[in-house]
Amino acid sequence: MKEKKALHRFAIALMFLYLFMPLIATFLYSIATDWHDTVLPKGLTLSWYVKLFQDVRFVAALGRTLFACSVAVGLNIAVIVVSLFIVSLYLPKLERFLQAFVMLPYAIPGVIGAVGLIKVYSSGPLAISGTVWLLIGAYFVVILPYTYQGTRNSMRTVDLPQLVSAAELLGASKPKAFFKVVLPNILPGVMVAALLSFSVLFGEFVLTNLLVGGYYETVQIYLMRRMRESGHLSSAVVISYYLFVFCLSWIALKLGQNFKNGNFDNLRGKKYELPHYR
Amino acid sequence: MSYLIIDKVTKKFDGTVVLNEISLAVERGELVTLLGPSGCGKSTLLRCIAGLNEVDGGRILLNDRDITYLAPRKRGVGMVFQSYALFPNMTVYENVAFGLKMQGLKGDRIAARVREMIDLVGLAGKEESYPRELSGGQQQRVALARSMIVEPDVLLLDEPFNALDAKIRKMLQMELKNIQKKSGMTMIFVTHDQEEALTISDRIFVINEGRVAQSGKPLEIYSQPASEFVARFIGNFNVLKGEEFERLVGEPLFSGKSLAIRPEIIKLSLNGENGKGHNGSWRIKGKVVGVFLKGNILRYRVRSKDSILDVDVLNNSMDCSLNYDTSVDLVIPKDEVKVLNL
Amino acid sequence: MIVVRGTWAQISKNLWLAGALLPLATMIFGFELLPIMGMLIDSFRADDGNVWTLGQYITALKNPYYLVAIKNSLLISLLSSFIAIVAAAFVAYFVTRLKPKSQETVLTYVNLTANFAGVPLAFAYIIMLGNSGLFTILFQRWGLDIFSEFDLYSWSGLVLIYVYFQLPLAILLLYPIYFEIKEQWREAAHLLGASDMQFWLQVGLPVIMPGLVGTFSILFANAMGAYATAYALVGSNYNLLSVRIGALISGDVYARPHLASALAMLLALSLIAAMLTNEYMMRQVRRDLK
Repeated sequence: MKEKKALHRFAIALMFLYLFMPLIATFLYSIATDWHDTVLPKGLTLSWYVKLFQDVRFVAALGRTLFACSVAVGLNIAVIVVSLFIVSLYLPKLERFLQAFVMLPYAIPGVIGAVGLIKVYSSGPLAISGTVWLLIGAYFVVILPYTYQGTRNSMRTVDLPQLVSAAELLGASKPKAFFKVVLPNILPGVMVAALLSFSVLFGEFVLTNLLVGGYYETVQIYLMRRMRESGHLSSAVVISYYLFVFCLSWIALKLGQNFKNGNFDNLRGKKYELPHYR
Repeated sequence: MSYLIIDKVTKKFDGTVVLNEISLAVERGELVTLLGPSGCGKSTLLRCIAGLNEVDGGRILLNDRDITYLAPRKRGVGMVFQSYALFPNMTVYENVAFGLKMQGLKGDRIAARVREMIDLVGLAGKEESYPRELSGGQQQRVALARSMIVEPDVLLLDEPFNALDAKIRKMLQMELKNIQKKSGMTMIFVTHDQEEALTISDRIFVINEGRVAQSGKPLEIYSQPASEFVARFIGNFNVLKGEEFERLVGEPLFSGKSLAIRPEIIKLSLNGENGKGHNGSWRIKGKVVGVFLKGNILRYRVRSKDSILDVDVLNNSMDCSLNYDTSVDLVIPKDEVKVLNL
Repeated sequence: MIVVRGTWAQISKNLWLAGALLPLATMIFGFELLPIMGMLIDSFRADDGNVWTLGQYITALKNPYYLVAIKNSLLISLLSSFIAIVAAAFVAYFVTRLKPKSQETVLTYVNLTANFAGVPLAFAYIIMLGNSGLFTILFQRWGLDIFSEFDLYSWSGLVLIYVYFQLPLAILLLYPIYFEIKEQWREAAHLLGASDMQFWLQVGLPVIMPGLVGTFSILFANAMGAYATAYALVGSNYNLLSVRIGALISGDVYARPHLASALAMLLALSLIAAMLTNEYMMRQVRRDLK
């Protein structure tokens, strides 16, 4: 059994080497002064990061990304929480029906989504093609599966209908029951879903490029355009982006652990039930 | 007029009739139990009284008010749920105080009442704990305190002790009864456990298929079951067809009827011991085919002709228990054989 | 009276509910259903948009250019999924043999790399293996000729990078499936005289087979729909179905939205087939075991 254990460990280590190699290489490249014909970089520096965050174009792209993602996630969370509250209280039969539509975006890769969106919004009464509003609409739909599942799981774990019944029997009105009892209890789960959605959108490239690429430069588009100009600078973009997503996941993980009902586990399990399109 | 009146209430789910023109009345200060098998409609009735389910017909009157179509929070009804339904984000204190806060009362004015109530349910010192830090029994005490503090006209308890283990359950039953007597609050308790119902109730409504099968004081229900259903559900009654019993005792008395005989009123003696039964009882010969120890009671299963009868004997160590295949005589007092309505 | 009042209350309540659900319904309709319907209709229209025709589908399936794109997409999806699932089948199993705490750690890190895809991934590979990439130059210096023929911007490069983003997903999907094999089965099999290999062939593999097939179909769908990574690496030059669709809707000169719709519909069909396969297979795992 012993040598088998060693074999297992070796195989797993090999996998990690393969999976982390690109990240490590990118990281080293982002802190290297010059590195093109030597085994190791000639010197180390943080100047690429300084340069990056002094680049007006990058900062603007970052601002645009944050704006589009925040609006989409904020709007989506508000709409989903209210809708699910109502559905699970008054129209539980509607839930399966709703779920079908809400989960559909999981199965639609960005290229397909873009074809339809461009067709509908490039002309006619709602010609918002090339504007951030089309992007926000598309983002809204992309993250529906995540926010829906996170919110629904939170509501299930606290047994929302019964909690509301209990509050009402103690004299609370529906809005009061919502704000005093339901919201505080589902908030951690909803926050986890929001963070997850945010990091998904932060890495979104396909829809962004096809829908508004020429007009609305996000971080991903910025990276795409500059990666052949300056490798070091682009490495800094990649590592910054990755650190940001890592922080979001870490906060979500902590939130999930504090929230002892295991909501985050459900969410994490679900996340990989269907593919992510790249 | 009674305090709470359920008047011909009907409730259907997807066309299935769950409550079938059910009627019952509860007096002020009573603790009544709705007892029945799962799916008999007892919980649905409770939820209809609370306004959590809408009725399809009939009326509900509470304290001279028609509450049939009122919103739950306007009914003056409290409820304790099987799964406690405590607010996980609030401490014990905050949970108990919730109802008073909803009435617009402010912090320091309610503190005394909240503490008093927490004392009453025996949770002093746990005020700052969160529900998840408490045991099931403690959580249910919080739930009880939370619903009692607003002094509802009637408190509904939906199988509140179901999720608890037997020991804690017995203790809480006693405590609930004490608290109820002390506070004088009207309570309706739902359970499928006949022992629990017999222990705590002032009166019992046995519910079957959306109707009241029998109502009465625990002793009445237990000793005078009105129907085969009640007899079978309430106790471990021996329920026999009339013809079957006639074959046993050799007297044509009960054709076409059903009979119930409580296991503990049958006397059991060894074969041949002091001869005949008295005028007031029947004597039957049989063989022991099973012995079950139930703590303070020994249950013998006795076969006589083709019938099986259970006999309960107090388990005092003086009697040595009988073995399988022992021939025994059963003595059944005539006036303890209950004829059941169909 | 009461009944009438009840009805009125019912109606106003329903109106209120409908109003509250309107925002979600609008967004789903506007940005999900409407585009899908629009695309479906467009795919049956001629380029001028006025005539009903099957022409776009005929072009898609007859024109060698698009036919090759479809073929390439199918090939790279099948190949990368196959490599990833074989590797993942071993690694995921090895992970299940670790201590529970270590399992969690390993999965957390795998999860971390699962997010590394698209443009950043393509970029990282360009740094490592591009024309003047770190490893490329390193290998040249060391005179490792085996690697001199490797070209990141070709078929082999694409496969390498597709496998990279398929592997974490495959591991995360396969990992829970191994828990369907109960430890007692293995013990029972050994007590009955089976060797490790016999146990896997007779019991283990048959049990997880539907899970493997289901996971494979998801990986396949994942690769079929992938666009960003390939686009970032080779632009519109390499002939893949998803890249073709992107070019047909974004290219100013060559924009042919109706043809793009037909190709997108074909892509969608292949994804639906993969999804249904997965759904069916996963139900098999459950039915076998419960």
